[in-house]
Amino acid sequence: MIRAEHVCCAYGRRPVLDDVSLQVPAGQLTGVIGPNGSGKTTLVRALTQAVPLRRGRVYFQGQPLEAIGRRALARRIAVVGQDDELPLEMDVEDFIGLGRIPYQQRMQFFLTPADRAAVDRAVELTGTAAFRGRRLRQMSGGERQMVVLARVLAQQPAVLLLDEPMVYLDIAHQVALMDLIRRLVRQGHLAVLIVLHELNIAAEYCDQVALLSKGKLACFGAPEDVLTYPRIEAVYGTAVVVQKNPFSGKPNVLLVSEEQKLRGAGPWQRKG
Amino acid sequence: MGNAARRFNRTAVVLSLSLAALGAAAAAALTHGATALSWPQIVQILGGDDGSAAYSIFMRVRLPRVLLGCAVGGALSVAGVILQGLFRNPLVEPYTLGISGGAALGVCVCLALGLQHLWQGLAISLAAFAGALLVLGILFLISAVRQMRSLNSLLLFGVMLSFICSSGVMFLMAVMRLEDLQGIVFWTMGSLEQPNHVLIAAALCIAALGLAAGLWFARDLNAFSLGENAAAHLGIPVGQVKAVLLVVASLLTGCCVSVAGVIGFIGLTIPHLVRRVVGADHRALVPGAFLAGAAFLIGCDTLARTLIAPLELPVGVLTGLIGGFVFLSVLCRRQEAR
Repeated sequence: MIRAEHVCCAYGRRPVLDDVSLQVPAGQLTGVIGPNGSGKTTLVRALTQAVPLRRGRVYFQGQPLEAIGRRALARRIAVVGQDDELPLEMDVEDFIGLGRIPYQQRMQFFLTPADRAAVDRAVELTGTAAFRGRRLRQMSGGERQMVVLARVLAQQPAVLLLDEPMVYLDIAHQVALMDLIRRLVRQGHLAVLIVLHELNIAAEYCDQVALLSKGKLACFGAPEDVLTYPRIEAVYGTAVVVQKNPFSGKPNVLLVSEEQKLRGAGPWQRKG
Repeated sequence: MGNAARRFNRTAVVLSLSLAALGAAAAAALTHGATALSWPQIVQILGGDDGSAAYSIFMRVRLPRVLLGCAVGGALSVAGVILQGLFRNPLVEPYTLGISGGAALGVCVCLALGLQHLWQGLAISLAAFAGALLVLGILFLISAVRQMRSLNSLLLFGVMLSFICSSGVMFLMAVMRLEDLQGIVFWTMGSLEQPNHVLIAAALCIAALGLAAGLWFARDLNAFSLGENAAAHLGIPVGQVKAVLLVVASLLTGCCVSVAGVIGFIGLTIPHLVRRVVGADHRALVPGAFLAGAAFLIGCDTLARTLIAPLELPVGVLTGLIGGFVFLSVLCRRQEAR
């Protein structure tokens, strides 16, 4: 669905992405993990032409992104960015309706029946019907995140790029959001790329995981192949224990504190 | 009734009420003053020039003030909505970018050089507009040379330019003659007394164009409420829209300051108050703020003319006082509600 080929980006003279190639296919959830400053957000921005590419190209359904118009691109690729702001005084319904902007004409003062149907569908998918009529200010962090997801779904995209959507969410809201995203991927046949800090969530939910290190793609493949002890230690520079989740059989990454390491041999040495 | 229908009805009611408030403020402004005018008198005046004092008062004083109040109040409010929408900063107002400071400096220079009587007093308005344009030009030049992408950097430069202009104004005031000093003090307090009808017509046209521009870019301003990156992801050409809207808001402000002096608080408070009622959708906010701003300024001007008649208060004093207190009370109620 969306494909990056040998993408290189830089901020000034500082390279941020170096020769990154990956594919985000429809019907699959692709996770991007890596330490702070490894280029995860820049990768999301490169996939939407929000940053200029030094080298390489990004394709949507085989077509280079630069050949697709700005509005046409917004109808195909929706983004939840890390620095997106929330207009707290806005009604939930108006906020979700912002997702219809790529479809609206200037001086269009009301939603068309197609806009309304898309908003209703997004509300239904995210289970946010109860929030209609409320203002964003009156909602909790978890509720707001569901509404943000409803806004990008109202864009009716084929590709969804989510940059750390779990920030500030408790564990129950994280699970609820990831369950919903996986349902959208499976049922809606969406291509979703999600930037995550939580390695266990990436392991549990993603079909494929890209591990970034200092702007380079350190590894790209199934979670079982990427989330191994040597790779995590090499990229993050910290000791962990990698076990199998007894329910799903997926990798489960446990932290090891400095104190435990100083005590000598420990379970983290059971390499994944 | 669905939420959408309820919201549509609420917006329609608010816009109708704002229009009614504008009509009521205009009616009060036309009939009240040092000399009261009745509606039969006004109907007679509209029939033609009968050479009466009432005709002069209506056609030369009250009607021009109502029209100018409508233009300036509406334009400043729309400029405030645009700038607050662009910067996503609730404290930004039309004067923050230093436009009013530049205009004040222009007027000071005009008075210091003794040019105020040129072209039947038009020189002061032109000097104010030139000062406003100068600040705008410097701002855009700095922005282009330094390749500034962040609106907050632009805002900081604007605030600094405003301080520099204020220092220039204070310097000129320190060396000015006493009679010129009074002129600049009254000009900075704002007034709708504008004898030049061409300027009033121009202000009305520019306010109407500003309203049209606000409505034209309402969709883009809605997208900006999510931040610049999110707006770009919604297909908005962010750089172009920012540049056009900054020029529109600055020109609206420059025009208002040129014809009516520095009338404060309208561009700050009216957008906030209207936003509380109609919500943050700029398709309703822009026309709502235009109507409410026009009604508010005409109402304040009527009070300024009548409170201590036959003397007149500077209208900027009243807009600051009333606008400030209303805004404070709304803020206090909001804090209590939380």
